[in-house]
Amino acid sequence: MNLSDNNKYQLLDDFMSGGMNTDDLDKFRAFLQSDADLALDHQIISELKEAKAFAPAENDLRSTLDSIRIDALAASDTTGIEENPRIKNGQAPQRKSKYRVMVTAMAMAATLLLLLTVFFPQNGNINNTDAYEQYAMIEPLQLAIKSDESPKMVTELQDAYNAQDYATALPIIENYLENAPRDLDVMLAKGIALTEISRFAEADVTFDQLAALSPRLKKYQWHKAMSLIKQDKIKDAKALLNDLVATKAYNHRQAKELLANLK
Amino acid sequence: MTHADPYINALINNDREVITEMYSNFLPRIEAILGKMGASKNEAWEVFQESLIVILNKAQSPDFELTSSFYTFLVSVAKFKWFNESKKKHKKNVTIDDVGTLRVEEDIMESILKLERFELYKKKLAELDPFCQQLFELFFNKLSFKEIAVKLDLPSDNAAKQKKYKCQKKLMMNIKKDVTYKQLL
Repeated sequence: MNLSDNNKYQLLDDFMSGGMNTDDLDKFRAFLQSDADLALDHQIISELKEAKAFAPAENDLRSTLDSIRIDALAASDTTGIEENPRIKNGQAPQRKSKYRVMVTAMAMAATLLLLLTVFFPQNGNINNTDAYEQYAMIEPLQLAIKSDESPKMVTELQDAYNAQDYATALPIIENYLENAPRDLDVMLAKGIALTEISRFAEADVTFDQLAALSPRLKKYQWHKAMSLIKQDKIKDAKALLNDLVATKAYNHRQAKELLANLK
Repeated sequence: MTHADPYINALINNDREVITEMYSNFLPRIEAILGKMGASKNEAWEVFQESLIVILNKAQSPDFELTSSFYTFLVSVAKFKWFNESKKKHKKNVTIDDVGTLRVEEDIMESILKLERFELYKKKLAELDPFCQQLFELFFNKLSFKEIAVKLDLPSDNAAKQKKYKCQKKLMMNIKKDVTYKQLL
């Protein structure tokens, strides 16, 4: 048996799959001991197979840890930590200053109060289109760029979404999710974008996928309720909003107000 | 696969309830320990997560044996992981105290490096052209060269074999010439 650049990978395959006779096996073992480069090839191929076999368990655990992290951050929402699990490669969740959070919260409360005073002065009822427009509260997307992502794609996605150009943002979002199907922030953005352009059935599927991925994360529930309101499915929307109120989850105060004003 | 330690079992079985308990009980302690070694809370979380992945990988080996409490083992892995990370990120070394015997230290370090090599392999695989990526995917899914030839519209199993060796050569070259690879050996 001769070893050359042309046949070494075939011989490695035969060696690793047990397809060598005893003579060749001994010779190949001798090659492995004397040829550091071949030994390295052998190690890489073995570990590649191991890495592939380990990937499903690793992905499952990462998914679970991500969603636990998201839930924990959502629970400590008042501390000002954004719900963003993108901490891989040192890209930590960003911390808002307490001052900024306070000012934003006060501005939102004032706006809401004004809207409630101007638009619901009598019996508090509001039509569904107005309810969606006034309560949807779509937050801007703030994505950190991971080392394996295209910065151009992330910027385009974010710019289009934040400019409320949802028709442009959607294909970029879908493209992005092909490589990062567990990205809950972008999945939520997809659901919202689909609602905005009235592709409701797909929006519902997206919100349901989010629910399945992270059942304890309630932010999707608020946006699904908004989508249902836009679709005139008020009974279903109310059920979701009632759950937010009962569990004191995301936007529960706004949910209570909205419930009181929905027709 | 079952293991005597409930935390190891939870990692193997992806038991969300117990993993949540680990998150609540152990992460604050890891944050405190690594905080003294210069890690921010977010860095500690990252290290905590990666340490659990390392432990899961070790636990899948049939000869894995936990010779300390799970928490002690987790702290050791996290300290080494942070040692490694701080070298890369901040270009500085941190001191590790009270980890254990030399054999345990070597073992943990080797596991951490192996997982980092896995990441490099995945990255390099993803950088190959789509044809090679698809070919490897089929190969790792244990399809025969005959089946691969059919799926990839190649004339024969021998053609599939030759294509695979060509792709493999390219992959090996890309891995070996990566500057980080030698640091992971």
